[in-house]
Amino acid sequence: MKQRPIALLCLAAVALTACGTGSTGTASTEAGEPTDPTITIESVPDSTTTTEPEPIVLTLMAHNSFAGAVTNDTFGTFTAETGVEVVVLAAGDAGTMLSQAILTKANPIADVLFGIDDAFLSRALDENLFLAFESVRIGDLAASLRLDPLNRVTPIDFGDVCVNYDRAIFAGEVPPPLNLEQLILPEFADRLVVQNPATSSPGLAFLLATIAVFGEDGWQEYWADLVDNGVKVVSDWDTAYYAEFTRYGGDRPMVVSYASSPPAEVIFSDQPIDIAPTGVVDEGCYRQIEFAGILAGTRHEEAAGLLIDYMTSIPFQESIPETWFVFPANEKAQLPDVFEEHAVIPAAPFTLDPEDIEENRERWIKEWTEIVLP
Amino acid sequence: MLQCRDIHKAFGSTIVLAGVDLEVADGEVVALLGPSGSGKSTLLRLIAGLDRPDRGTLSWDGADLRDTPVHRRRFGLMFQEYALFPHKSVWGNVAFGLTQLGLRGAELKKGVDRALEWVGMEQMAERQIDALSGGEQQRVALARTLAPRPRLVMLDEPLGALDRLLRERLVREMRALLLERRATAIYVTHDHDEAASIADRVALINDGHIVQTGTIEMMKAAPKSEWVSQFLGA
Amino acid sequence: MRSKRFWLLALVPALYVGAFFLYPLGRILWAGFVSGTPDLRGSGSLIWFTTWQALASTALTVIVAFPLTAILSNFTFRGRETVRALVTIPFVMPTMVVATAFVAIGWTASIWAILAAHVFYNLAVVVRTVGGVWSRLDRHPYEAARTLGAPRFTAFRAVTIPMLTPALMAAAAIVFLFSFTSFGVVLVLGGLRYRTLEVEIYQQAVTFLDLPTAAALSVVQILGVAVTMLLYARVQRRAGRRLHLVSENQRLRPFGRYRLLGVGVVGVTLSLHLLPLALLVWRSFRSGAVGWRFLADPGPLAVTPVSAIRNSLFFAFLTTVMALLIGGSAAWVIARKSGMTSGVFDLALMLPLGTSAVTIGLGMLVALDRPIDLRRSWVIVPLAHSLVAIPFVVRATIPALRSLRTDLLEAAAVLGASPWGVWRQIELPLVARPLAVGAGFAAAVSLGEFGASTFVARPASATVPTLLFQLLGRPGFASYGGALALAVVLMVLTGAITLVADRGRVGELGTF
Repeated sequence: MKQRPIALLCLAAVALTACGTGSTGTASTEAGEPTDPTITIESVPDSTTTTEPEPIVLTLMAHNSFAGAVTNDTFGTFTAETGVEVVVLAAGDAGTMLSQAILTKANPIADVLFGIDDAFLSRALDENLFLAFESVRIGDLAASLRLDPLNRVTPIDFGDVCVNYDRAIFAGEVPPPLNLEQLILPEFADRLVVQNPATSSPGLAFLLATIAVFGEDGWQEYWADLVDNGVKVVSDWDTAYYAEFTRYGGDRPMVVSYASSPPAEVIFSDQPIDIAPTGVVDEGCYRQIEFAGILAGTRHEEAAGLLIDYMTSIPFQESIPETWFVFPANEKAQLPDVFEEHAVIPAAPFTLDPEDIEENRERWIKEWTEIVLP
Repeated sequence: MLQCRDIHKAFGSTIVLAGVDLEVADGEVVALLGPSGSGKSTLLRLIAGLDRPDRGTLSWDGADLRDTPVHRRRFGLMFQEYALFPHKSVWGNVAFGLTQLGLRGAELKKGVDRALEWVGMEQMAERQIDALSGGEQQRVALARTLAPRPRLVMLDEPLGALDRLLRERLVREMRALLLERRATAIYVTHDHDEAASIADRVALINDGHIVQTGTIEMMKAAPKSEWVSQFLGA
Repeated sequence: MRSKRFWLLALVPALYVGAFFLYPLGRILWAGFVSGTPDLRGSGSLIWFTTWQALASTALTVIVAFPLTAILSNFTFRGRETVRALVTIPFVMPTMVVATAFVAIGWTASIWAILAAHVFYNLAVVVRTVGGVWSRLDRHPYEAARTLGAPRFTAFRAVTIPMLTPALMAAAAIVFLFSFTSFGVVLVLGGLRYRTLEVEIYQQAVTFLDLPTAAALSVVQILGVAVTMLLYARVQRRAGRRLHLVSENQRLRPFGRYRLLGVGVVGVTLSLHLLPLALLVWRSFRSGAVGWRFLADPGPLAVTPVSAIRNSLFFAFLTTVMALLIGGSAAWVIARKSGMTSGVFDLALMLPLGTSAVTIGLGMLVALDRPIDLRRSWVIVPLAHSLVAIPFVVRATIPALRSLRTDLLEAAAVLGASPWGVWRQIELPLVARPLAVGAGFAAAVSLGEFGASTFVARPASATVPTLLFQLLGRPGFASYGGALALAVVLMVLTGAITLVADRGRVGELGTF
């Protein structure tokens, strides 16, 4: 008698999910499968090869911030051109992704991995995760980004982590700082918010920048001075930027962010604006490079190579800035206007040797913790 | 007709029934009378199929009951504490056995209404169990037991918790009800007045044995043992 | 016959936990240990901090939850169900979001912030687990004590408290496990000054890629959990007793002269409890509700908010069904048997709650590639969720199953109900309420993306929390606002599901 409501509820739930599939333009295969934003566009039948049995499906493992911005268009052209479908696996942050890749080395869950950065590169190479592959466009990629001479990984994009400032606050008598050294001056007391390098990727990049600038013997003292000068530490980028930064109602006019943050401010502004409301301290930036590699153990090595070629091609490279807010590794790629106008590409960003980072990362973070969070 | 032959039952080292023989003829009401701990309730549970005898046979109309599970025996058992289903109304409790027989709709309603009428609870059909008094619960339990017209009705100290006046009235009513339906019944009690007024025949049970059967007067007149005369004479 | 069926029933949860938890766990620990030597320097203080903050959090949670539970368990008033639902909402809020709200109230990183956040999260566990029993406790023993001359408090202490102890212990055990394995709260609100084993395991496995150390710390953590559970089982055995439960209608009364007290307790607890959430709602509407406008028109997002909500509901539904089936049959087995077997069984089922999410997540990736490769399938998400959800169903149902009157089942059988019929018509309805409570938690666990699911690579079938994190990481204030608005959506979803679970009537359940 009273059984009906619960039965209806079940029915409703089933119906909800069942009718949900496929309605957002994805071709789901199984009934009840949740809407999947992965790319399952039917491959265009090739008139010349009528005997081809099944399209190749490549799995691309990427960190969440890449996977989250993938849409049907991202690999649409690639699938149309090659007949190879691409399924994207979201694998957490870069560190989680790498540990997943290492642990599943014997039977990899993906064919291509994207998003390994210079901080983790050395470890990934040591683990022999990747097959060497020379992209057809290798010559177009900036030489400074090609960190592996054996081409086991291919640089796809880079981004610079820099101190950003709120132009409105620094419009008066106090000008914004010019470099990292100035951040410990009294006029910048209690003005900076940074991220914890143990939990945040820009936070780690900023720590690496200070190590690159002040050297293995000097960075500790610099951080002690920063602490004396009232630096604030939060766990992640969004808290720093959207809760502590003055532009969004916080009380810190300087924040560790990206060189691409000013164009983002312009793009996402409610009203059209001519000048970005934030600026970048372009000395003392750290350059993060993101690489893609073909995972050893793939059954589709050739198709995987095609995918990497595609990711280094001009159309894909030119879509990078406005999709992921980083910069294309291909030097022939044009930047969108808004980036040309508002982005700062630091002339001399810092980098560290990946092997150095791998060897010292844990110690650096521990020492940093002892200095900054006693 | 129910036949119990040489029924034994022990729980661990405690022997509860040590060779019980009992017959109940069709339409007969037998009272099983004995002191607490004499094994009365255990015997009912064995007959109902809730437990298995260690030894001996139970049969109905000559057919062994061994392989008939509880729910296929079509025996009714009214529990000492009634065991009414707290999540069902009075109506739902009484309907339970009838729905097991496959009754639905108008037929079901007729069966439930009739059973409630027998015990005078027609007005209370929609009540929840926890809103009933002890006497009312007893009536519902009786109606629930009788409603599916079981082949054998077993009543386990059904009036135990009620006051004397109510008990006397209910015993008369129950006797009338059982007679009217020509029910075959076993009525367990430790009160010999109750036993005398409800049963055609009384079986005295003590220490896991049936000590003597007959009417109370007959047994009082010719007790088979010292214990019988003491138990009945007191 | 009956016993064969019994073991068959035990087999299902045993296989499930064995295949999807114990085996992956074994594989990942093995993989960790063979890859190098662990470095356990400093783990002494780590264990010490993890334990004492968990104990303190548990004690505080019980203390804060008790008055509210008492009111909810003794009085009937308008909005009672709503209060119960509201209390549950924080339980599913993603830690990052809550931590931001805590920071906004002015809680900066400190041990107090950690403890407060743990109370905030776990209040629901105590209110619902203890309240589920208390609100159905027979008043008669208490009243008997009063007539025997015991003053109110003495009667309460001598009669009511002992009857509540098993439920209190069960709730405390869950709160302890949650705090013991706390991750997001400690990471965000503790800076790195305070770290639990869970945080350290994450750091070792993911930031430093030191798998041997992560594996060793996982073993330490699991041992800690096992010891806790054994202690719990011991205490429970001593305190456990069959309770006579009545219907809520029979117990609950109007406030009467306790109106002021009741309204006061509910008001104060709820307003403190919901402050961070209120702040979140307020922030989501800031700057002209830019976040809501973003959700309505998110532009070229991989996953639209609508499909994320649909995915979340789908996973929550699957998780709940699996948790009810597996957890329900496990509870049934555990309640029927006593002794070693059932104790070990119980422990194995509880372990996923106390095992590092990183460990389970990575373990699933290592182990679930054969015979069917589940790693690339969305199935792995409800699988991971259900591991955490099952203990809730088990804990919620066992007390009710143990206090089930056997004569009711026998009466039904005598009346002609088959074993299946007895189960469906009597046993199931009688435990429906606690099952519904467990189901509510299971759905909440899934909605909040608890545990391992965050650490398994998965097809980008985003749920509300995963979309929320993607939005948090994207540039643009609108998408940040969108994340906050999504958090509010999550709150509303949880509230709604909890309300449904509370009113869930399975079968012909009437008053319970």
